[in-house]
Amino acid sequence: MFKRLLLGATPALLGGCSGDLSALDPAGPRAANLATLWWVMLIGAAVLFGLVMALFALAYRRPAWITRVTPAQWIVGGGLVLPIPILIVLTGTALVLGEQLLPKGEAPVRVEGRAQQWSWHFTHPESALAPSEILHIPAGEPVDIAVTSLDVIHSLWVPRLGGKIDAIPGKVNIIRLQADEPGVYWGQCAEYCGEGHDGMRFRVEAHEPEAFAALLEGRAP
Amino acid sequence: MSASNRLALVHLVSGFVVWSLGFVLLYGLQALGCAYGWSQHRLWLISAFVAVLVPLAWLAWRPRRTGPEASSLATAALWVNRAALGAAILVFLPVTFASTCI
Ligand SMILES: [Cu+2]
Repeated sequence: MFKRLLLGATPALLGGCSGDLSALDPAGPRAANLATLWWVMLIGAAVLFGLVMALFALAYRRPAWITRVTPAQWIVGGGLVLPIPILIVLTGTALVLGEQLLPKGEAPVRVEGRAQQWSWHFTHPESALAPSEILHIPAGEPVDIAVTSLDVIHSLWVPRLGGKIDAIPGKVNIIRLQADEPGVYWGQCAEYCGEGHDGMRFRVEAHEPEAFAALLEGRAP
Repeated sequence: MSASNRLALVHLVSGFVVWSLGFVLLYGLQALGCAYGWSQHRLWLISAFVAVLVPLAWLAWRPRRTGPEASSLATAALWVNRAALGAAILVFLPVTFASTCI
């Protein structure tokens, strides 16, 4: 019975971890950083929660043990010794992983992305590729996307390839994404922008480098 | 409320009020520096960081009455201000080295 329950619960639990829009199913180094940070935060929170629950249980089961701890020890232990190392580890992890997401220097490929309610348009400057609602990128290489908006604030987000960035009218923001393997990925507008917001998805196609070069030159791969 | 308690109450909140002013100051300098491309951006951030630490350090170590006449409110104020100093060092330190603009 227990085994059957466990088997039944597993797909329900893991169902949210896969799929086209899952940040927990990274397909590139930048998305992997973000997933790692998420796991570190989950583990940090679980450790703290477990410790507090263990103390809570102890207060019920072994009240004598708990009363031996003085109020000063509770304050120093629970208020300083317990949270400070965990907070330092979390802040440090976020800093190191976050720095690696930043678009430093020039990426080999630069795409322009424009958001307009409720779709995205991508252009490859100086290429024969026509503006498209599909984001074409090479696999295995970092790509910079210069993002802007023609109306309200949107946000470009491809959960399996990297972080998200706001698309702001009159301003160009740059985000760097990377896919390890050729394939199809999906993006979603991540800033509420009106009634069509939830359907503001876009398709990302990552190509082999040669096929990508052919695509840019306008010849069949 | 006695005058000394009123003073202790002011001390109780001053540490984290300075902390939050420092937060807004650093956030603003970071954004303005990027928007206007300041050449001495990092220097401004480090100066502001140090400028925020000075009053916080004073609050954490200022000369005070001790002994039995020190109220529990004054003791709480002292430790809250020390926490504010620690929080400022931990939370604001990255402005001295982390990437500022992209
Ligand atoms: Cu949108």
